[in-house]
Amino acid sequence: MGSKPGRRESRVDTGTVPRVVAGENQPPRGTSIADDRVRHRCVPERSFGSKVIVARPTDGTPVVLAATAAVVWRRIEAWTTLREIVDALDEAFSTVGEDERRRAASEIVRRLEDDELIERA
Amino acid sequence: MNELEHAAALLRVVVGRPEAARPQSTDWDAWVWIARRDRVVPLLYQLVDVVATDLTDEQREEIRQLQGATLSRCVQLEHHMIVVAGLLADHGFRCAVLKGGATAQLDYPDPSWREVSDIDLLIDPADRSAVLGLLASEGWMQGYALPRHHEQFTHAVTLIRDRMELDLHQRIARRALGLRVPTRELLDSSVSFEIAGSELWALDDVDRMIHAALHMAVARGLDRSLSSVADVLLAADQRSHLAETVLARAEWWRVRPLVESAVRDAYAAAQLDVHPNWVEAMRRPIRRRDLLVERAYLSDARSPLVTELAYLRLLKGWRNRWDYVRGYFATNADYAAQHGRSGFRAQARYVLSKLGWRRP
Repeated sequence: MGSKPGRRESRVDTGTVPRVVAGENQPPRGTSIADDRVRHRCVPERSFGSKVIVARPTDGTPVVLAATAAVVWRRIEAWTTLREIVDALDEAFSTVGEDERRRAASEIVRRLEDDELIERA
Repeated sequence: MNELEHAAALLRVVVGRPEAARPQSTDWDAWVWIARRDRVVPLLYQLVDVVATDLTDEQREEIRQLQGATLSRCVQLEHHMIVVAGLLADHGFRCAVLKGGATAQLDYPDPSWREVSDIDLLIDPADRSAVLGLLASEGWMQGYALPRHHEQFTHAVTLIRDRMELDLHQRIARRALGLRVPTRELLDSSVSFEIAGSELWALDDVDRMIHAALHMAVARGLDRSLSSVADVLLAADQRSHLAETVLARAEWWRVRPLVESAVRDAYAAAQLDVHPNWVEAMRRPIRRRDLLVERAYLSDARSPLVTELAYLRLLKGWRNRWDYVRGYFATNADYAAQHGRSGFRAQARYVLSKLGWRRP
C-alpha cells in the first residue's frame, strides 16, 4: 500500500471547464469510453464548496476534484455513459460548447481512471 | 474579543446557532490559531460560510486551503481505518471506531464538519496481543515504549505507519475510568455503519455520548480541545430526548457525575443554557457513584496520586496491582532508549515528580 514516490496529493482539474483540459489539441486517450459505462469506486470522500476530495483506493492518497471533476464524480455514482456525463456538464456549465464539454469529460474520466478511482462496466 | 468568545462562536456552529461572535479581518489570525490548535478548522470554515464577515479574499482563501488540507487528511485516515477494520474483521476480531472517525459520519450534519487527526479503534482486551501481532505484520509499529508489563494496563497503544497514527484502545478511557466502563459491554451493544461501502462498527448513540463526555471531562486546560467539547455539545443537543437514558447508563458504570460535568461545561463553553431535558434528568438523585474517581477527575486541584489510587483500587487482585506498580520501576531497553531513563532510581524520581512530590 505504499504511495507513488513524490506524489502525496494529486489534483484533477482546476475549477472551470476551459481550464480543465490539459493539452486540448491532443486526442484524449481511451476514446472508446464513449460507448462504455463507468462509475466511481466507493472510496472515502469529503465535499467542500464546489470541490470533492477522495481517497485513492490503492493507498489512500487524497485526490482533490475541483468544480468540473466534482460534477463528473457526483454524476458517476452509478453506471454512466460519456454522453450522460457530457449532459451533466451541460447542466452545470451551460455556456460551454459541446466539443469542449466532451473533451473535458474524457480527460476527467481518464485522469480518474489513472488514479483507479473508476471502474468500467 | 477574547478567546472564550471565539470558542463559543465556533462551538455554536455545531448546534446551528452561530449568532455569537463572528470573525473579522482585524482578528482573523486569532481565529485561525484557535481553529488549528483545537482541531476545529471545519467549524471555522462553516462559520465563515454562514455569517457575514468583512474578511479579505486572502483570508477567505486561507480558510479554504486549511479546510482542503484538513479534509485531505480525513479521507486518507478513513482509507486506512477501513483497511485496518477490515483486516481485523477478516481475522475474527471485533472492533469499534471511536471518536471523530465515528462521530463525523454518525453525528455531524456532514462528515466534513469534523476534523479527524488519527484513527481510534476499540478492541476486546482479550484480543490485544493477537491484534498487535497482526498489525505488526502489516507494518504498524508501536509509537512509544510502555513501562514493562504495562501492555495489559494501558488504555491504548499508539501505532504508526505511513505517517498515519492508529490508537488501538482496549478501554475507552485511562486508568479507573477505563475499568469503570467495560469494553465488552460497549462492543456488545455497538452499531454498524458504512463508509465507502464498507461496514464498520461504532459505539451506540448512548455510549458514544458517554465516551465523548468522559474524554472531555478527563482533559483539562490546553488538553481539552474544542473538537472534544463540540462532540459533547452536539451529542447532548441531538440526544436531549435520551438524557435520562444516558445518565442512567453512566450511573450504572458509576461515572454519571463526570458525564453531567461535561454536559454542563460544553453548554457553558458555547455560552448557551443547558437543554431543559438535561436539567431535568440531572435532578434525579445519584445512587451509584465512585467518590474516589470523582475526586480524581472532578476536583479543582487534581492529584495524580488520587488518580493512581482510584485505579489501583479497581484493579483485580494484588498480583495485578503489584505488576502495575513494579512496571514503573523495572524498565526495558526500548523504554530506556525512548525516554532517556533507566533503573530504579531514575524511575523513582520520575514517578515521584509525576505524583507531584518534591524534595523538601
